[in-house]
Amino acid sequence: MSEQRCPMCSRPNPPDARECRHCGARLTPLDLGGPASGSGSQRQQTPPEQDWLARIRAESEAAGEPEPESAAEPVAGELPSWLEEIKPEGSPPEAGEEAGRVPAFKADGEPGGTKAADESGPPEWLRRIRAREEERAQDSGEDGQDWLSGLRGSPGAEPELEEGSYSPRPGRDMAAPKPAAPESPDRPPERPRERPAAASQEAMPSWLRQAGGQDAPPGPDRSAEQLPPSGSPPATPPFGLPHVQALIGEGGEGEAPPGGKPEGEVDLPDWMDAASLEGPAEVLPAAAEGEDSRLAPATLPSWLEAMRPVETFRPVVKIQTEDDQAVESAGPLAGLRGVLIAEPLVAMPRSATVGSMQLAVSERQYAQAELLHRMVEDEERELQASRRIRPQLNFIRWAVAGVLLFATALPVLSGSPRFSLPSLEPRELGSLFTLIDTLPAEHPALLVFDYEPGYSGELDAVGEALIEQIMVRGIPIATMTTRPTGSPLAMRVIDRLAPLHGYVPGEEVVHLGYLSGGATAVQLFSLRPREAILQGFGLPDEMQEAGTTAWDTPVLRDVAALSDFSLVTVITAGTETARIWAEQAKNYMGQTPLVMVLSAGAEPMVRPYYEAREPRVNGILTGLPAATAYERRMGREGLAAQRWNAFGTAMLASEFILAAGIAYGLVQWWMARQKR
Amino acid sequence: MRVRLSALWAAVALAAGLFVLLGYFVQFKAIQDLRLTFLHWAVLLAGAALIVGLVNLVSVHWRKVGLLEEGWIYSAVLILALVITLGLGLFFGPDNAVALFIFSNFQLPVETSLMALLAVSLVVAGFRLVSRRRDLYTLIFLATALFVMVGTAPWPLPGLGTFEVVVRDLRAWISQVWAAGGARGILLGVALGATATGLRVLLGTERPYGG
Amino acid sequence: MTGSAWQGLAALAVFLGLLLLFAALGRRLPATFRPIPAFEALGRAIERAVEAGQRVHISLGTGSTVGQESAPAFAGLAALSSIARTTSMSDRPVVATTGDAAMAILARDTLRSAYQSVGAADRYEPTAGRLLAPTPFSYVAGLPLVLATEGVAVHMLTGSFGVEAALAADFGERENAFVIAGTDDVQSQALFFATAEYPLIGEEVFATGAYLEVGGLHTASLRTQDVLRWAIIALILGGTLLSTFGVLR
Repeated sequence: MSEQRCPMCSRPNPPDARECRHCGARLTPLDLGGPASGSGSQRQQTPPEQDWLARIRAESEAAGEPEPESAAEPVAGELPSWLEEIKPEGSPPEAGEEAGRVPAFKADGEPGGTKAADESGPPEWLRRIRAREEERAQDSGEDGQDWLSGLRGSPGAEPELEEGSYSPRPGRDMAAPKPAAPESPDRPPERPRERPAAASQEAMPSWLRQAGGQDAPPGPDRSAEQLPPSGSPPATPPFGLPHVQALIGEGGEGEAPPGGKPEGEVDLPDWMDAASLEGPAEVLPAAAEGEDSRLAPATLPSWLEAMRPVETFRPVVKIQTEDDQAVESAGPLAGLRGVLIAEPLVAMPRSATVGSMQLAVSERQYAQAELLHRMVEDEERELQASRRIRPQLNFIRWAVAGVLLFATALPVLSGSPRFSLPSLEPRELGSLFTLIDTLPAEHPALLVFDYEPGYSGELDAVGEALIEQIMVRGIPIATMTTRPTGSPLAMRVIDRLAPLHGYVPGEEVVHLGYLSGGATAVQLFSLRPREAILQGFGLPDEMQEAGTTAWDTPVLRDVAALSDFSLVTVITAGTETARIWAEQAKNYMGQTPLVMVLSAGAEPMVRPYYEAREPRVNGILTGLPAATAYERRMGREGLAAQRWNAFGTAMLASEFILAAGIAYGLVQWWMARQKR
Repeated sequence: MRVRLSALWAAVALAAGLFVLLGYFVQFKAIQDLRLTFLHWAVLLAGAALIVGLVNLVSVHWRKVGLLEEGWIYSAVLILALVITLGLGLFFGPDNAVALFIFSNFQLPVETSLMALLAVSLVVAGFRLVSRRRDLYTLIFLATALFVMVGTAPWPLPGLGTFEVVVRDLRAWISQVWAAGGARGILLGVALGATATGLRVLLGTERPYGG
Repeated sequence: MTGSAWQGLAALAVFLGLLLLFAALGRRLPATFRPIPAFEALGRAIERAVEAGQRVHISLGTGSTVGQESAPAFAGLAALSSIARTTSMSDRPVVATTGDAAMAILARDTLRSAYQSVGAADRYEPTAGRLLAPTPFSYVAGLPLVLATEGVAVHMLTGSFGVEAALAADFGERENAFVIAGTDDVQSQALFFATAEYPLIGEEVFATGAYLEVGGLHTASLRTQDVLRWAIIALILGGTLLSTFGVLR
């Protein structure tokens, strides 16, 4: 033999090659310490006593087994004899056969038939084999012992296997340790290992005889496993699965490979021979043309069975015959066969098998439910305002307050610095002074104190300058207010000045009190003063006890309308109040002048009334500087002059702080620009 | 029923407003008298509203004290002061020396102190303004404020009479022309807004009285 | 009727006519107003406050319900109604304070109507609209307690204020609240410019209803004011020119 064929890829390799140069498969069996088993020229001579196959052959020769016939070269178009033997005769595979299902070996007497494995006993194919062997045995006169058991020899003797001497051939049921794999019905059930009976020389198939003494081609690395000799018919491989002969001819005899056995080559079984491998290439088309019936049906080896995808598993469902199927008697499917019975399980009402209605709540579930309940409750509850963390003391605020306080207190406490009184008077000061100076003294002047106590620091000083001139003239004074705190303010100012000028409450000065209603009240008072204010405020006790009202006093006895007053002076810090009196009351004042004593901030809003072509305001006195000038004109030093120095230092400090703030902001802006 | 009540309130408000408005333009005696009557009622209602407001004030602070909410101490002091002042005023009269003492020694100093605090807050706000809002209007605002302060305050340096005159005149020009002009423009807009608000109330579309 | 009375009635009729015209045009002629950063920031601030479980405080001022000083307070009531509807389901609903008793009653009525309109009448509390104090400075003195203890995150001042307004805005700034302030008084507006984060200058306070989309008539009112403002500007300029050239005496 010039070359050897690789058992895996079937390509030729040099005779001395250990591994296939195409696919890398071993061409010689792996040597695990024992006598190596290889193929081709690497075959080693084994001691005759260790070669079980040789022993079997020897026994069979001794028994007169004819030598296997060497298979002749298959004629082109003809199937080799060994293939013809295993090819099932007769009809092609049954139409009802499932795809992918490996037909079982044809039953005895059933050429070409396929049959599901009978799980009740040995598989059908095995029975057939045994039957044939028995026939042969009967023919040869032997007892009906199983040919495999005959090949194995005495019941107590186990065939000694050399490690690595036997390699399972491809196609055989490999002794693979499979897990429970009951999927394939074709797999023969595991059978307990049976002790082989004495080998029957006559029953030994030819291929087995040919394989005697040969080194089987290398296979998967399972040589360490103890395997029954190839010649003996092992009932159950070491791994528990029955051995399945892949290709067995009809007569149960194997044939020599068509190519014969070249000299020096390992005795391969016919079906494993290279020529036989080539042969099927020519044979298969012939087989495909309708000669499939001559092929012996084979089952899948167990290792291949294990590789079958689960999806292709098709369990065998035993379908009852129609007569055996129950007839539904209730429900919409009544009268049909083969349906799931509704009663008594489905249609019949029954109580729940669950048990009581109480939920089985675990501790953890209970805690979670409680938490959820609390969360829902919290959503509806209004949260209490949390204590806000106060921001830190504002240094700038405290610093500015300290500076202003110091600046205000310094002139009061120390008398310095002193600022000179303003030498410049406002333009309107002269006309106001003249106006007051020319008022008729027999008619009272109405003073409206419409400012908040907070403005008393400024407006007390400004108003007193004008009030003093009125008191100097001896004009009676009546006060009123549209603010709740106006009456005490008016009393406070008048009570300070009245003793200086001999004014007696109730005689020269009277307080009308508080008139509620804002602008509406001003309009009402302007229309009918006596109906707007009824009582008075702060009248002397004797007058109150006598039930005398403010209108009954000598001051207001002759006053019935707003025009009966000689002067109406509104002392206010709000522009709105000034506008209300200027717009609402002036219409009812006739020739009576209206004078505004204002805070410095209200001047821009009121001045237009004074400077209008038809002025509604006849005089204004605005701010501390004007009051100081007024006092200077009068030749008296009042509150305005007393507060002038403190006013000056505080204003100066404020100016410096503002200027510093502007400079600081500009420097910050410039530095930010530089950084960019 | 709720819809009818709201329509009734709207009708009352509408009628009262129209009569008062007409009374400014029309000189019929009946309308003038009706207008005066409504004005009288308005003054009375303002006084009554003050009482309702005080009741609301007390209820808010009473609730705070009752629930011991944050700041309940101040609410308790407020209720106590209100009760004392109200009691003294009702018993002795509002022009009594005790009431005047409370006003002169409690309310007046507190409010003047708040005014002083206002001055400090304004100066601090002016100091921070450029840092907080860095734009041209802010610079103009602060520069104008500074100039008016310089023109209003006592002159620190003696002997600069002409310069002082110029500064004071300039200050007067800024405040009486520019500031007054701008204020007048704002006042015109405010008057338009107030007119629109009043008309919405007269038309019944704006109902601050509910419904 | 005197001449001035006729002039007044005519002006009123023009105002009313324009108001009704713009209200009728409505969506057919949508209005485009200039963006006011204060109102844009207000919406975001209110959303943040609601999400953070904080409160919106609206101050309606210290002015009475009679006279022109009530006008900005009514604008504040319109804003109160809108904001109350928005924050009705908040953990801390809106609170309105005022320095006038009658205005406090109106604030309560407004709140009740707002809650009823959104079906949250059970969430209305009478103390949500309250009188802090009857006088301006005492009102301002009561503000820090409200701002500090009620978790105020948005401090809105829309009403009539005096100079105490600067303190009111400053107290809000100290509490790190979002401060938006508007009033009708010019002097107070200048103080708000210095102390408030978002001041409303001029008549912007009367645009509150239109910018908060309270109703169609608010938008029509603002458009009417804009038209009449331009008319007044034209009259002033024309009168000035005519007076300058001696045509008008």
